[in-house]
Amino acid sequence: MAAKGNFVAYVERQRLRGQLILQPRMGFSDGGEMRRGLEAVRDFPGATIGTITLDSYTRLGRFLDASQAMARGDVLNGYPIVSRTTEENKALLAGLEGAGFPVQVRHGSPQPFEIFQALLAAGLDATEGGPISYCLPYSRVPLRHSIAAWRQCCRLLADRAGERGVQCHVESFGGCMMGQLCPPALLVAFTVLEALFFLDCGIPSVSLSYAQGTSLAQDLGALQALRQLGRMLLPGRDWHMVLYTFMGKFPETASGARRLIEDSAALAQWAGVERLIIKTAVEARRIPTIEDNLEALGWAGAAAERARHAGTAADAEGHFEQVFEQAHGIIQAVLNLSGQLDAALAKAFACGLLDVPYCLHPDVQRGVSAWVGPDGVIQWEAVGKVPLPAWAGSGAARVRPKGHSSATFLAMLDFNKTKYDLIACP
Amino acid sequence: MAMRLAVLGTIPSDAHSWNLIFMEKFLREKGLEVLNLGPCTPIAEFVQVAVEAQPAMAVVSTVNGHGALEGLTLANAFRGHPLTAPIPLFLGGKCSSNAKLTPAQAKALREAGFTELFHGQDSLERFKAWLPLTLAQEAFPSHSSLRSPDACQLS
Repeated sequence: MAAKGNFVAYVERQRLRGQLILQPRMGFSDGGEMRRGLEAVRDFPGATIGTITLDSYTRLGRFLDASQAMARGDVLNGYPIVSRTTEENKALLAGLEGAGFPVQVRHGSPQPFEIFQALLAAGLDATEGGPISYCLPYSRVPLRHSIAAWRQCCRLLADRAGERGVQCHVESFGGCMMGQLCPPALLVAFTVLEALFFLDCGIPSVSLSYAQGTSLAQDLGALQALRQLGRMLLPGRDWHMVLYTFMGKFPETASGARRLIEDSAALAQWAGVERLIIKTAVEARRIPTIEDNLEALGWAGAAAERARHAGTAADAEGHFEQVFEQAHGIIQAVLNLSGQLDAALAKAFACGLLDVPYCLHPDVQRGVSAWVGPDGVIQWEAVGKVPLPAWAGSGAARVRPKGHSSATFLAMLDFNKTKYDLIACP
Repeated sequence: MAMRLAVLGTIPSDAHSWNLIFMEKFLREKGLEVLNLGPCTPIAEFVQVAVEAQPAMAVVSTVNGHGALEGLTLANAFRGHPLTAPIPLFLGGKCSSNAKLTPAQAKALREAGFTELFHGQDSLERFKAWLPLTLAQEAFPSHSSLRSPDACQLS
């Protein structure tokens, strides 16, 4: 029996303490800066996990471009783990990463083989992504290539970590698809399906993700549904839940951005998720500094602590039932397509059982769309061929607009930006 | 030339989608058919689609801050093909990592072949003003024959 890896053991320890783990999305091209950032996160008072976010050249597999840019002295938008030597990567983590401070590698690559090799060589055992969530929103790689690549990578990670005698961890990014305007039932279905895929590839520990949306009640209900589906579909497996601060268009005012970050921490606390991935107030404008990240960690930590004592009046019950029923139906329909998960996923997208609103990837049918109501609740507009109960497309008895003008669409994308900037400057 | 068709895409390094989805809706509202090529559009694909479809215009929307750089390569390729050379080519969004395009950046992008650049606060309004003018042209002897709406108002 393999011992738990640093990441897996740390999450379990904090869960037993009832302590929410805070994790930034930090990545710097300079090794010294990356190390200082990780040290600062480790030294932050409270439970934290460190992050190494990779640069976009590395995410796209353009390793030579990353090396050349570094040679020119250019600043990349993340840490180029593949272009650095194994010695440099080990030195980055030496005396820092360990049982008391695990580090996760975050990237965004549909074909991450070299990234997995590099993180394994550096001695790490935790990363994130997925064959759907790292392929469809950002790349033009055919879905079946991404599925094959992720299977190969997950097997490599499970085997190598197994040889080393530790349990590795992969988090699904499926609950963050497109960053905003995706019906929660789809987010929940995607992340559960990706987690099932990782387990099927031999990964012993997984996490289910969800990104904060535009309605507290809907988010709480969706997270409860995700917890329930995890219990049902991942029995006896090591898994936990991770919430992301809103991934869409961010408020422009500093106080609006702060309030949105604080609300994500309160949501995490109320929903009982184990881990929170935190944005900073400046992300939309520039690469956040170490100080920007520490500031956001501080806001989130304090807000979670306040929420622990305050409770919420949000009524999540109806949302829980809707999201649970819809997501469960979608997952079962996909699993029924084939006994082989890779084939089931590819087939589900080919026939539109799985679809993503506003996603331009060629393997997506574009039969579904969504809208945001005045209360912030995300509703289905067109349900395409996604197997949903008959009432789902009716917007649960709400009046829905007949097709959106580009201006209405922009207003929906700006929902949180407008709301939180107004709170800041009424 | 397909008078009511726009080819829409972005630069190869830009993985953002929402700007492209918005622009598609916007152009459709203006009565255009849209071929939306999606994020991380390869330059060769952008040119090839325009060669075959012969659209009324080609629109590059980018927000990752690399537009001023990669836009040059794209415009050179677009103007380098005889069948796309006469087609109006627009660049818009957040084209550099700063709030403004420098005059040198703008000059280089125009020289590379962009008909007009839309960067910054009023860019959508300015683009709106360009549309009827672009669509009114039967054919363009050269892309440079298009004059800005401001210039037209003055004359």
